[in-house]
Amino acid sequence: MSSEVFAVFDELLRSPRAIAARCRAAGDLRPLFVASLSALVLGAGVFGATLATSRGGLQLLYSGVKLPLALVVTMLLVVPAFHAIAAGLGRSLSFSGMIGLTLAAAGRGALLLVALSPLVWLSFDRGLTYHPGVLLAAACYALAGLAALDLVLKGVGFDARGFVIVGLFAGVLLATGGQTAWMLRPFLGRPSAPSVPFLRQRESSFWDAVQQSSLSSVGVYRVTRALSTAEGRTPSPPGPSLESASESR
Amino acid sequence: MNLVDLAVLYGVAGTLSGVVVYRSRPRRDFGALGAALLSAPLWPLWLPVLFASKGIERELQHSATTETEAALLEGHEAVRSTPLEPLLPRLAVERLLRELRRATERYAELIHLLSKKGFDRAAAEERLTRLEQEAASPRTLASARLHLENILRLQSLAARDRRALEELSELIAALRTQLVFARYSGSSPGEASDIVTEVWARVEMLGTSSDGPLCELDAALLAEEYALGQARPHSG
Repeated sequence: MSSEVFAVFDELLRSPRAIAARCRAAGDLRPLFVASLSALVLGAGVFGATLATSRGGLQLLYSGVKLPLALVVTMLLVVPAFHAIAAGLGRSLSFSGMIGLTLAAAGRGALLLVALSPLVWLSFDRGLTYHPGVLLAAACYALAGLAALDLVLKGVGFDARGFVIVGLFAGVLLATGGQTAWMLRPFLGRPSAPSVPFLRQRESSFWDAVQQSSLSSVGVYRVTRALSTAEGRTPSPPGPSLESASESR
Repeated sequence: MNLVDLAVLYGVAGTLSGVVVYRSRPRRDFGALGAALLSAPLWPLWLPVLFASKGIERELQHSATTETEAALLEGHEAVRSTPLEPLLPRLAVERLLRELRRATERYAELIHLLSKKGFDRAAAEERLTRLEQEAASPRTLASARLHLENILRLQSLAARDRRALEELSELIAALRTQLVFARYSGSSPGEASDIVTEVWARVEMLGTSSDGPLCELDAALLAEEYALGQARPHSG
């Protein structure tokens, strides 16, 4: 099986159409599964460790383990939803084909993350700070996600119905993947934190964070105000303070 | 039920899956251990893929109708999950089986055709002799000759296919024993590799004879028709 696994690795990069056809045919998908899972674990591991170079130390190991874990857990959660969406919209693949397609897409995305790792590493090495680093990582995830969804689209069919299925699946993937990754933070590590935790303490949710960031971007600092009032301090004026500029999410 | 309870349940299901997968494998080797280890944390994804692949394998095994197909599958089974697997990987076996089935079906079709009354060689020869004795028109004689020649060509095709299939069958039987020997003796796969190359060459030839001669036959028929047309007196 090992030769087939290497052949699939090659296909993942060079011919996504062949991978999509393989998943639709739903033959023996074990080599595809193993190759995609390996690509996912290695790719996300390398990228996670690269992100952690801004902090260094134990964070390298933690991020190298947690990013693949976040992706694998997300895959476990989204595949049944993907199957249901596709079946509901009349584009059903076999369940094993769906698993193969989703994992292959994630593997392809992870390989793209590996390709982007040198850029991220170089940026941190040249002094990129925490917030721009987070934005750069988000841009890399977006690119990898697009490459992955392109493979999914090839699998379900490149037409209007295929776009609808992929659009709905992307929504499920974003919410599930976002929350999973949120629970497994930190990946970059706060520069001012004295120690490196494996997991940050539970606080709100991914959706709350998105809302808060959206409000912050228009100058509304709801949480900061509430916390400051509770602590009996004078609310700080709107605008990023020195602390929040260097260590917010 | 909180997240920890869910994780415990998931872990129990994963452990049970791993045990079942390991125990259900015919050989308790590294491959079986790998499959079991994948099952434990990833059972919701890995088990459907594993079971679907097993189902396909069983189908393939059951559909091995001829001895040659069975030998090919046994040869692959002998090298599966070993360093010799690249010699006869799954994809190659599937392709070989497809080509073999195509050639076997074609041969069966030819034999069926040749057993029909209209394709009887003796009858065609007898008819030609009778027409010659009756001094039939040149056009009628040419048609009768063409009919006989086509029957001869079809017979020759069937004989060639039978020979090719017999040779391939022997070669695949030798490949099976060679692969089994290489696996158990740990010897160099050199000879097996030569046989695999030879099998591929024969299969390519089968493919050519499957695609070619019928087209050649059509071309021959067209040429005969053209010659007849040329021989016909111009009416206008």
